[in-house]
Amino acid sequence: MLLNVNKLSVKYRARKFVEALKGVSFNVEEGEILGIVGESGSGKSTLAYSILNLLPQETEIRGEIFFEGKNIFSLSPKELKILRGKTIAMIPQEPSASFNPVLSIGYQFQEFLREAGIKDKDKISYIIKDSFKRVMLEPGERIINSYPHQLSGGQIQRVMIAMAISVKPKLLIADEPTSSLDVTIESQIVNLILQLRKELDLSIIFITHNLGLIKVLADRVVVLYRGEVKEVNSKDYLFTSPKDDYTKLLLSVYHEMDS
Amino acid sequence: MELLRTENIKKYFKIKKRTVKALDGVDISIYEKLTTGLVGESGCGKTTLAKAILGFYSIDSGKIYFKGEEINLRNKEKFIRRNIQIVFQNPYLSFDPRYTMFSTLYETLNVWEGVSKDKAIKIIEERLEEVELDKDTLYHYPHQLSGGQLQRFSLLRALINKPRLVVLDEPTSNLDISTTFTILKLLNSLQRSYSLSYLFISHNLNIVKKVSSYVFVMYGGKIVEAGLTERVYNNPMHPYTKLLISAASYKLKDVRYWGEEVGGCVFRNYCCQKRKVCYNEPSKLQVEQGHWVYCHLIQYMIK
Amino acid sequence: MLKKLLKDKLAFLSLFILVTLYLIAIFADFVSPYHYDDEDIMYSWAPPMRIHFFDSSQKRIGPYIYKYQFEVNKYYQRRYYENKKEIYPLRFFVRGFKYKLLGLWESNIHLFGVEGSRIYIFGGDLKGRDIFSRLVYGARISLSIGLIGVTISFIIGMIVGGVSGYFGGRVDNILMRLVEMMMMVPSFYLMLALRASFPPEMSSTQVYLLIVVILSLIGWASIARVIRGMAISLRENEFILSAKAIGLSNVKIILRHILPHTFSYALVAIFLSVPSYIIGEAALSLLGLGIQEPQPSWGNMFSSAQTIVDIQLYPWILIPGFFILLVTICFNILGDTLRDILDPKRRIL
Repeated sequence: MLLNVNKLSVKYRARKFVEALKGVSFNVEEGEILGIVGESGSGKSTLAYSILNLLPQETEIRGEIFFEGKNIFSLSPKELKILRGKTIAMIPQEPSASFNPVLSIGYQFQEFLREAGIKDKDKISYIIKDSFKRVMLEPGERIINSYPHQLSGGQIQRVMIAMAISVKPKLLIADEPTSSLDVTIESQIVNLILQLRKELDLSIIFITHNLGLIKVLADRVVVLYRGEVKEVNSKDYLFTSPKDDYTKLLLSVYHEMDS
Repeated sequence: MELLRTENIKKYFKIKKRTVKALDGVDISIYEKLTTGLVGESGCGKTTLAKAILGFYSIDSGKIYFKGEEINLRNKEKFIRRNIQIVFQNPYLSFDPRYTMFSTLYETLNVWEGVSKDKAIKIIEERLEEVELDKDTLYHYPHQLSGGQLQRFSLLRALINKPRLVVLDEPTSNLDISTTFTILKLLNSLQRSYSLSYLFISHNLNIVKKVSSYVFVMYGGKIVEAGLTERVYNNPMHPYTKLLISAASYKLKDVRYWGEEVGGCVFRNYCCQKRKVCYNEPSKLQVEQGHWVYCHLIQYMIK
Repeated sequence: MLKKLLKDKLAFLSLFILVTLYLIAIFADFVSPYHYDDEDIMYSWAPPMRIHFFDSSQKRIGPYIYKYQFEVNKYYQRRYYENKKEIYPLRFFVRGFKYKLLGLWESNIHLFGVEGSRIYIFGGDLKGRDIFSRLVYGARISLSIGLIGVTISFIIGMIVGGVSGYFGGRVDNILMRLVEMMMMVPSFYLMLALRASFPPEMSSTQVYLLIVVILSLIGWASIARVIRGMAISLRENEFILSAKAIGLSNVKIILRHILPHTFSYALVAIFLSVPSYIIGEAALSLLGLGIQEPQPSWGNMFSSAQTIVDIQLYPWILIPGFFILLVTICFNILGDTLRDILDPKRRIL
């Protein structure tokens, strides 16, 4: 068991208390893709941020998240830095918003690797080229020297994935990584993730609202609704014999729309 | 019956000395009381086409006919505003955040003829039921409502002055699946009760397949394939349409790029079957009854 | 918004000072013990009077002043001293010259004064007029010029900017070139040039109106530019396109859907630019081109502090300058605080 989320509750302190997560528990096993399905307001992004311990100061957190047996809420700042930079990587929804627009892609990639503790220049350039090849980007100078606005949405997302896998993380959190992309690119990214998982033996948490994606990608599925886990099930059982009423509703809509 | 027809519409944008051909000779037809789908990816010109039909842009060349009569901004602006309406992709941005839903709708009702406030309330409340909204939502501000509620208000605003054609520019792509589903149902029932025509623009093939009777596939500012939805989906002819359909079920793994060359078929640089003929502009070819494609390769395939 | 503003101590203080000053300006006749034109040559360059509370026997008799008398020294300068035998108690709500409060009610009650002598709490000027009274009357002109000027510039600036940004194309081109022409000339020279095109001898009301117009003509250009930028970014917004689609007229779209979204910017900019109008008037008056004597304004009062000798001998003539500074600082603090409240990330303003 790689990750264990145990009765996690998160409250935001806005004008009123907003309870984003209400006692969420699930596990992530090594080498599996766990799909988390939820519509807007289900707390799925909050979940992603709490795994990285990146929630804002004023939030009230109860429950624990164990990563390889260690509670991430009681880590020292140094350990946290390693956790965020090396052991768990994240692919955000808006790839272009994650890059600094005035610095070149190559510079930001190098910076990222230096922060992760790799100082050797030759090693850095080897890692960049290697991870570019893995995500099927041309490893030459063209993309390395370009700026974020010069790349297409698909290319930027590939760079983002290349960065995420370059430090050989154990867990990859993908928070709706394809929802701002076109269908043809989405399909390519999805297949890329599947291929990388095979090559690198990654565990992946794939957060989405799209059941179609879950059907192709996930091994097991967590269904979130308004901060509560409605169902945890293997994918095949989820699509054939869902247990929860909300899952049934989602599936009926999905079948209605997809056939 | 054909309601609206565009003929060879061109719209070029000049960005830093480079010309971007947003629309490069687009012919589409929208049929009365039916939904016409327009599928394409971002940057293919589908939103530009919508805006051209609504007269937000002047077009560089080409003509738009509404029931056989030419419409353009100079002589028919009022006519366009009365008969063609639009619903946008992002419901949160479609309403001025400073006004309540009632003031926005009241403003809309008042555009053509003066309506007293009491009468407006009566009219609006009656029509709220059609779009399945509660009366108390009327006095809310946009940020107090959900995406689904706002999109219903968008529809209500578009329909309140009884247009003939509604352009739906990705009306569901910012919504959750279950909301999408109810909005699509609502669109369907409104179409029947007001005998509306829709132009449904989307990048989501599954939804277009579900709602439309005719479909136009667009790529690089041009129509590449058109016809009855069933025939296009069951028997796609253009390599780009095939690519889209395989991508929709996540089967597409990699698209190869063949280098930048201009002229001829727009899809040539990505087409894995390209030949010498592709350097010429493809013309419209009929594949079967109610199914057209703009591709040279079709001749080889039919043989 | 007001609540947040009042939470900030500095902003609250600034607002308090400004409100007080504007109230004083409105009720100038009541607050000032003398009319701005009331001369008494016996008090020429009289220094500010001390208000005493205890007499020499330490028996409390409340606030009072001693009568000023002077002797002439060897340089033929007056040296004022307090005549300890002549005591005049400071009275509140005393009778003085007649005036019409707010132009409606006739009255002769004044906030404070002394009976039988004269009180000069900020000292006297060359002609022996009370600087405090003149300052209070001057506030009417100096403070109102800022507000009226800013209002006119904003009306022009918002309309030009809104139209230019919303329509774009040729309209935008023409209007923006005009704006650039206005901004190209350094504003001080533009101000002088505009003033020079009118005769120097005009009645004080005419001069007042002229200065307001001149200052607004200089101020609108930069506002128009910012509003235009905001209008351009709003123009492509879905809610503007929706308004267009339903057939709303361009005028209504600009007035109802574009300009209201620029109000929060405008509010901040108004606060930040009021001081420049006050200083503009001061600058014109300093050169003798502004409000003419005997009508007081802070600018022309301050213009008497032009030689170092005068400042050394009669330092109290710097008091109008201090008030100009105070008002400028208060408006800036309010503007800055408002900006932080409305736009914490400093995206537009």
